[in-house]
Amino acid sequence: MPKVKINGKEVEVAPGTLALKACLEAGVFVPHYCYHPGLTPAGNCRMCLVKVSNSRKLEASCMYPCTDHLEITTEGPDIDKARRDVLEFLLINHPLDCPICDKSGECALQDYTYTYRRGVSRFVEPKNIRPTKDLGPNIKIWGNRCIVCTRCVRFCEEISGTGELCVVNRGDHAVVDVFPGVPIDNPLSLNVVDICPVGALIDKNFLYSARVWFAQETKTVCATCSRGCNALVTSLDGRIKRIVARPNAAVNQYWMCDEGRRNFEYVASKRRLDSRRGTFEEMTSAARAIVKRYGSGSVGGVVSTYQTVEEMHLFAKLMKALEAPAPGILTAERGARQVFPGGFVIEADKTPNRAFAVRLWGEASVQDGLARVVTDIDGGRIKGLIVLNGIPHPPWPQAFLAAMEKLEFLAVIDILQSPVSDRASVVLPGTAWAEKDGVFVNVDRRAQRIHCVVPPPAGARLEVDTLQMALVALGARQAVVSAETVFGECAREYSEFAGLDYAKLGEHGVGLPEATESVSAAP
Amino acid sequence: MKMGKFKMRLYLPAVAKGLWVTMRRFFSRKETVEYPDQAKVPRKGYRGEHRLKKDEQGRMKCVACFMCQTACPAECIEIVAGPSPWPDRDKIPVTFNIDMLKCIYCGMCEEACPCDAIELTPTYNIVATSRADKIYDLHKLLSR
Repeated sequence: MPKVKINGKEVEVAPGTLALKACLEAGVFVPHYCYHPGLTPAGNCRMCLVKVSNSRKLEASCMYPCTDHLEITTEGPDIDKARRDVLEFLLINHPLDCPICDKSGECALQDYTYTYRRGVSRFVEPKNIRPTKDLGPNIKIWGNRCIVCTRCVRFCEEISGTGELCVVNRGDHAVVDVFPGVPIDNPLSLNVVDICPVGALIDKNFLYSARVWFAQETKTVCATCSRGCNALVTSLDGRIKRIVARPNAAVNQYWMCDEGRRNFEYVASKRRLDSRRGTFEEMTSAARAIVKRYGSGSVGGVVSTYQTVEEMHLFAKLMKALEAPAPGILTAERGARQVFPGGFVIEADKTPNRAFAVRLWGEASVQDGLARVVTDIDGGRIKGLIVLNGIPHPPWPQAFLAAMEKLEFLAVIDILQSPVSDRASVVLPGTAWAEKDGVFVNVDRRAQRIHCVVPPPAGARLEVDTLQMALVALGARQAVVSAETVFGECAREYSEFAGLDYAKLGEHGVGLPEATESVSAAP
Repeated sequence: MKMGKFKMRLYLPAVAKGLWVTMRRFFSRKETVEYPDQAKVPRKGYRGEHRLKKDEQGRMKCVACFMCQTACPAECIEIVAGPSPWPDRDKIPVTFNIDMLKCIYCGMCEEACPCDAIELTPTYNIVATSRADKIYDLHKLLSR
């Protein structure tokens, strides 16, 4: 392992580590544009110049591999001057239109311009004008702002493998563009907006909608597929404005799919259920009356794999208290599993917590979906049904909708108005994924925390609270506690969560060991 | 010494002195105006009611950069941006509300504006009959 000295401090790095990476890992910041940890280095922005002991001139640290006993110096008057000069060149054609640029506030060029005091240009000639145009359905480019770092071009070649973007023209006329008639519309296209260090590539859905310094950013996990990409949600005045990727080497590296980024419109939808029909007492007393009249197994349940670990745990308890058979599991499989050349995966199951449903009720039960519940209703064994759903637009099977007519009692805890909620006698509005705290277990059995980003609609109540209140009414529980305390219960009950709590899950989650006890078999 | 103390306790010299100051005012220039019969002319640079300026083509100058909203210490400005119909700029405000009840007339918005689009006029008699009327919208600000 080569030993290098960074600003006099000795650190050990893996052989072949680039100097810039070594510096960043050692906590020494070196300004850079074209370097991105998820992409191959290009060495074209020249911002990361440092002094190395092997060379008399300054070297671009993003292209300089560490050798043993290398000494790297990242600060000094000559390095400072070199960076200021690089910045002056970059700002020759870059407009200082920060007030009207959507990247303002999170722009690397803006930050370094402040750091290196380059607010005034000595350049008197007119600036180059490069076009502002659409590159695809979601992305617009402001050519004037492009500094040709080629991060986006490398992303399309290496990670999405689609290669829509290229650099056209030469010299200071060079700009990123698409080939004629081939817009950038791959399923990962919006990542290029994330990695653009300036305001050249802009997400059309976010354009003009918020100034980032007014907005709140919340670290959470995307719920759009069972991969569970780590995400950062920008919200303003209780409304979600955008979702961007948050790096997690164990799950999504640095990336996120476009579908996940746009999967928040339903949170503020007009079709959100926001007033209660009936109460949880009515739900429990009606369910109990049915059990009394028809015997055990006459009340069934349906639970979606959009629910958190805590909610599924409490739902399982509710089913047990009502002597119900194993619930039907509502999943949302769509399309095939997509694997991209860069290793990024989009899972086929578009729900975030399938793994925990498998843990609770078994793979066969999850595969089975609602089929058994439908047969039981048709066969007259199930007379009452409690549905707990969090999937935005769930694929309700036609047979299930038809079978509902035969029920004597239907209670629904859901987020959006649907044919199922229309037919229910008790409707309790629930909370969307962005309105609650909890834990999801992803496809690789990694437990990750989700956070409340925006407040739920007025009439909605957290599912953990509704379920606990129902359990208290049934005499199966002492008190209503927070989701965090419920997770503590899960940690005692399920061996793979042993010793875990919200604090230990942290920002990046924890990979779970295999469960030691057997999965409760479906009766 | 004793006499001086006695004089002071009489208060008469002080009263005479005070009256002298008051009497002098009868014959000097008036500092007050007979408001509202007489309008007061504010000094130069007086910070009163806001307005949004227009350019020589009659279009609003504002480009919805939110700098005034960012600078505002009273948080009384609320802007929603939208795409611009004109080719020379990217965006314009769709709504621009100033809550005159929250405003502290500090002039930071005017100072922060990179386009010289917002201005505090010398109008000081800002009258309204309801709270809603005190929230100036884009139309009202442009018509000042």
